[in-house]
Amino acid sequence: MKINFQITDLTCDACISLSQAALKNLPGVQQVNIEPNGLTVVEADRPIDFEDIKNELARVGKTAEQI
Amino acid sequence: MSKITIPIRGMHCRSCEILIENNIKKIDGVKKVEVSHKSGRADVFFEQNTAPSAALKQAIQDSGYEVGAKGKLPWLSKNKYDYINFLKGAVILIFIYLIAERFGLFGISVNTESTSLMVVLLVGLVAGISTCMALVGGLVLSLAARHAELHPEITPKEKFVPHLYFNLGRIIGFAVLGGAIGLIGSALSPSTRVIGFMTVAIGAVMIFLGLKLVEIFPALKDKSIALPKSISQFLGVGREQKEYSHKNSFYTGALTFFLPCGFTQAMQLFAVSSGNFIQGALIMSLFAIGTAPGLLGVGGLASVFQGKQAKVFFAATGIAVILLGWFNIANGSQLLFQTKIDADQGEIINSTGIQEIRMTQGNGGYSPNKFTVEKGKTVRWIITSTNQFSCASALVVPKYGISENLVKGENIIEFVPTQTGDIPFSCSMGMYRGVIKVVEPGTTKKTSAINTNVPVAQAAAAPSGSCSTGGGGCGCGGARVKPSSDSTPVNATIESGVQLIKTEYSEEKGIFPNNFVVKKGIPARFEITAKDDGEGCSNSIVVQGLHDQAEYLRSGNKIIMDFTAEQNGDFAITCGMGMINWGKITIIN
Repeated sequence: MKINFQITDLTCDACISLSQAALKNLPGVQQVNIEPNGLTVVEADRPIDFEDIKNELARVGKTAEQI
Repeated sequence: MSKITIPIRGMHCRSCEILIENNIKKIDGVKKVEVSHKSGRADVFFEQNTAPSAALKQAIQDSGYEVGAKGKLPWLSKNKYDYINFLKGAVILIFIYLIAERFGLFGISVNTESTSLMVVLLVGLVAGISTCMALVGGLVLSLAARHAELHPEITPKEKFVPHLYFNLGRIIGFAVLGGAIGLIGSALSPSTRVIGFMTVAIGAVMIFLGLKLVEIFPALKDKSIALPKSISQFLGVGREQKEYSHKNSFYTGALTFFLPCGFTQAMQLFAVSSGNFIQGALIMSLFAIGTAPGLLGVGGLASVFQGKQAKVFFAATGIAVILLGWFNIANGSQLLFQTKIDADQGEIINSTGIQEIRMTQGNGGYSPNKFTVEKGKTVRWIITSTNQFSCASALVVPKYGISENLVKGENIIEFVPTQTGDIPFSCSMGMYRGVIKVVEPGTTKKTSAINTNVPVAQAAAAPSGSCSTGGGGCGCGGARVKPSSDSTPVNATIESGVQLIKTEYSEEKGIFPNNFVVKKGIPARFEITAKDDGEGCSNSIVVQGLHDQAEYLRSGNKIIMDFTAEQNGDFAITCGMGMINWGKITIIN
């Protein structure tokens, strides 16, 4: 299943790769695609709670918002 | 435990710090790492006595950063890929140019106005996916996010709505504000010099942005032309507005006009220099339309322009922007330092002594655009405009302060050249040019016809009175002219108590007869019958000291000067400005 959301404080490529790595840490996540404008698609084999995503991103200093 | 501090450049934010920290932590023996993007340094604590320098450098480079002091980027890139990208970009650009030329795309856009507007659109497109994207994109995203927060139930389609309002506001806002600054431009009615200067400035900004885009000058990366932060904060940019509404989104979009983005500022200068509401509005709104695809992220445009291809793409656009900037500078400097132009020689059609020159203004400039006229004689410049909506329709003659917006059909500009030399003229942007060469009377090739029309002989007879050679033109009009004459003296005849003297004016002879004797204290009447129109300086006549009011010589008119002389002596008959000495009236007892 796909989960769409927005990362609101991306400033550079580092943020993208960091967020990507953080999201891949979540169990069940298969693929993560982050656009430079923050639009993010996470593909996972299970439903993931948005709070989990938020928490995971918070660890790398990023904020996620639902769209 | 030992500590080493490594300078790192290329860090932007906290994410960069984390990336580097993670990579350095993987090195054996490293106990603790503290990276700061603000100071551009990493403090590494390790067990060994000597720092694992090679491993540290590798770790930093693997994270995509470089070891070195921040802010001291080299002027020339040492990365050969930057040059390869530059060459690739140049090749692509040449390829596009050749294709466009082959399919006659340049032929279609002969109309310069649409060409320059196309350039504006292109600049907008580039800006939308580069500098403006970073600045304005963040703004619209936070707006959209707030909208989504308020309405969690909306469909993805509806989530797009704030973006649309934002861009709509941006386009309309840019049109209105662009028109406003165009009006400011027209109110200031900048001189040709100022416009030239502004055009050069636009070119300089564009070259600067282009150089930044091509990436072979890393030192420029840190430098940017931006408004002070206080201004953007004042405009509410980056301020967290809690309430979202479509109206807010719209206005925020419009207000991005004031956001410090190099491209926007270059276009604003362009709009000001247009000095016209509609032109200014067109320029700014087209720029906003150009940025819209990038800002809307249409079709994953942003992700396409990422990675390796992006660098080539930016190199190509960078070169294009540099070339456009150079084009602007060339035009602007033409306005600043108008130089001689070689082009078709326009023909002087001489009728009734006025030097008539005819020129056609079309899409591609002026034709013919080189004329030769004689000094001191009225030039009637008839310009037939075939297209009012071309840049060429704004004609300026800096030397004479002439600034005309040509309308379709015939436009007539009349002036009297007072100095020999070149009078350059051009469109207000300096792209189309021409020159009117002013020579001394009698030196044009087609002079035989002209010369007979002017009483040059008489003018030459009074060298002391003629100051036209001094270049001051009419500056000597008030000076007394030494009376002279060359016909035998004619005594006044008395008719019903009035002394009557009669003369004629003709192109061929000037005033003839030109030597009269009149008695003091008795009313006198001087009758001048004009057989031809007087032209240039000799279009009027005075008798200095007796009838100082200039009377115009018009074919078929009879001029009557009534006076009663109070003093003995010679009084000169001259042209209105005193430059041509036609004869004298001698007063006796």
